[in-house]
Amino acid sequence: MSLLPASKLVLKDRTGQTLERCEDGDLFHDYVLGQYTPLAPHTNKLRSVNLLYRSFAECGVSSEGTHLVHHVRNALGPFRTVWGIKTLAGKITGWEFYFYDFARTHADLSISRMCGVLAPLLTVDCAVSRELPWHMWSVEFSPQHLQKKATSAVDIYIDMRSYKAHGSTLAFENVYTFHDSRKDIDAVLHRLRSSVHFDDARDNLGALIPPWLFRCGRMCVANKRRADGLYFSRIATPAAQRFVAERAFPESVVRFFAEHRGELDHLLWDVGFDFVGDTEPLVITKASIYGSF
Amino acid sequence: MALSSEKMPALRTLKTEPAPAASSVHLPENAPAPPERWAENSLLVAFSFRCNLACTFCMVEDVLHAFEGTTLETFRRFAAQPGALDGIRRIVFSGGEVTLAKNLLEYIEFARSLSGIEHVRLQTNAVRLADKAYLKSLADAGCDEYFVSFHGHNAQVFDLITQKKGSFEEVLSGIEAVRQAGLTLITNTAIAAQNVNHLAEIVKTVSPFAPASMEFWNYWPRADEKAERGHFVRVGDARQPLIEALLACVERGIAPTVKWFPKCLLGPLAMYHDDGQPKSLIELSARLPDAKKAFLEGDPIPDYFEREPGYACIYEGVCEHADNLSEKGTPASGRCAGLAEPYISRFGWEANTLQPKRKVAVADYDSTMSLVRDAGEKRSSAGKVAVWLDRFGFSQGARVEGFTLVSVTPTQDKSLLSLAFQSVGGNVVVRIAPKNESRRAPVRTPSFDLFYNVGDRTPKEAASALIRTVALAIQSNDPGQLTLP
Repeated sequence: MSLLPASKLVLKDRTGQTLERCEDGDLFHDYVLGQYTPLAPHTNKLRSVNLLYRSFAECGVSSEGTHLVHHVRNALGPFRTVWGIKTLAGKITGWEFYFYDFARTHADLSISRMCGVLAPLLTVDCAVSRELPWHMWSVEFSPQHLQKKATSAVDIYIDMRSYKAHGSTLAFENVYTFHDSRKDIDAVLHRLRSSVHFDDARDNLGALIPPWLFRCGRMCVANKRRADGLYFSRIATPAAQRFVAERAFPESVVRFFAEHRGELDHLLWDVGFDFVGDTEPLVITKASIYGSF
Repeated sequence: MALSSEKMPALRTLKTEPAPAASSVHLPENAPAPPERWAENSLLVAFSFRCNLACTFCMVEDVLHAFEGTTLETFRRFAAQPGALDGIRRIVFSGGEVTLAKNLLEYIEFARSLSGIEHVRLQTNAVRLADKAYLKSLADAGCDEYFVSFHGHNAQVFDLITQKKGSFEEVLSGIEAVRQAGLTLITNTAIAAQNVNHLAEIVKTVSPFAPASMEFWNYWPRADEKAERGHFVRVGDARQPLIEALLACVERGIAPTVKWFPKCLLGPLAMYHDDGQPKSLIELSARLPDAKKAFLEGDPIPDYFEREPGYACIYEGVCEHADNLSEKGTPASGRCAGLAEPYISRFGWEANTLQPKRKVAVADYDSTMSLVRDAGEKRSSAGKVAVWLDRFGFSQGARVEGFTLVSVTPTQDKSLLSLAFQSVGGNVVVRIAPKNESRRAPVRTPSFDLFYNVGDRTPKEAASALIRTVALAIQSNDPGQLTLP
């Protein structure tokens, strides 16, 4: 697989944002790096990574962020990395890159190798030397991290759990279960009803699982330290557009979908949010959207 | 749904049998077969969205006067296409109010001239049908079926909904004219907050006019994306009056149809459920690439279909009733579309109210590797009811004054608790609501207002003894400040 020709990378839209367009041989992945067939002819339409670029621009780190994408892609090759944009209270708080290796060979994707690859652009504090049976690990970063003003930790995902790695210490973080939202709905309901943050008699399940997200690819229920989470995979562009609008993503991110209407209909997106309701009625806190490059 | 002083008298004067829980509904042996699923073989041709009434829950209110209707020429061009009418046996003219169209007769005559068309139907409010000469001209042109909107059991409710004083009498005159002319009458009642407590009474009002069928369509929230118009009734609250209405139909030999209401809540009456909708010429045309050029003249109101509500059910992946292909549009025949998305957004998925007909038993599902399966309600609804009854010395199945307490049904919003008592000789329903001194109540305790209705065949003395005993038991154990379970 060749990397993108440079000419394709310098195209810009009217906001001055770099635009990457799909080539014939592009691969499309959801947020667990599951490959999908695009919904419509894709050649010359936009790649999902353009939304990530827009979010970098929103935070004033367009150059650093775009450079990081190119850097990771050069090191791993295209179509191997999942990205996520994280928001809280309408503001972008950061991003996360996810590296999958379901075969667990950990060859070119070993954490130590990738930390070395990232080192020129991100300072990552992970010195876990033991071999662990992870199928994915991720690194979270903010504008401060991109400007080398902070050190990133690593999250390591083993089976249904994740652990935060700081230096050589590992701390338990989250539990995730994945479900076919329709066939496994009893399991989803069970997971939600057993959450300390959701009260079936108090909270509106329809707000937690909006009907326009219900028919997603898979639903993931997460239990976290200070919140629980729901993720919806493989939603079409109109639903993604509605999600960023309803979850109050920054205006420029919301506008991206409208500006490029007709150039995104081939894509599927993944979205998720955290919710908290242990002391007050449930509220949705953090929200995120995912793509791949 | 909050009880209001307006609604309580209606509750007290219901004469139909009280509706038990759906699971214990019993159909009479001579229950009529479900009506033909007419949507499957019908083509709907839309007329201008204009009307001489102004129903509060009008589904095209936002586009009134925005659509000029399908021209006869457009209809002709469409019908001339090879295969356009394959499988179509009925043309349905709808609006707005079709009888306002001056050239309606030409449409009917053209429809009748088409090969394979056996019926021509008007969806109408029937106001103009009282003009017998006009009705005769429609019939002579070939219109044999009249699908009449009928949303209230008396002038007060009906005129409130249509927002036109006198409309109840006008429409009754219209359907009487249809009956006298020997034409086919079908009525359609929207289920909405304004009339939900009167559905069975609507059956009683309409039945003398010998309808071939009575349809009950749950409020369809087109252009009400946020469910803000106040017409929705929680399905758990609408179920009982709907079942009463359906049984009232069945008892009178009238085959009912229910649309847009969860099939799983209807018990054996689910046989009368049909979420099918006919193909629509405007819809078919608008979805083709060159729609405007091919068939439609003028703007085919581009936002109209975008604002159609989607439907979904939380159990659609596990329920036999579900329409597995129910994207926006027409569900497969016999399938249940579920709940409207605006309803779900506002009121939730009703996951604890719906009773899916499971394709796979819950117990077979083991993928969460969970040790417990009953996370959720800290105490079941039935448990809460049992504790509440126990305070007054009652329990489900208890014998009281020769009657058996066969069911105790709370409304979803806890505004009403219905105690259904049955004996060999009859039945009595006692309804308990939070005390509201602004209304009259036959019995009032420190916390509650009690209402009752007595089945037609129930001996009055026995019913009185039962009601007195129930009232005294509650009165003597009610210190005030109690709430319903």
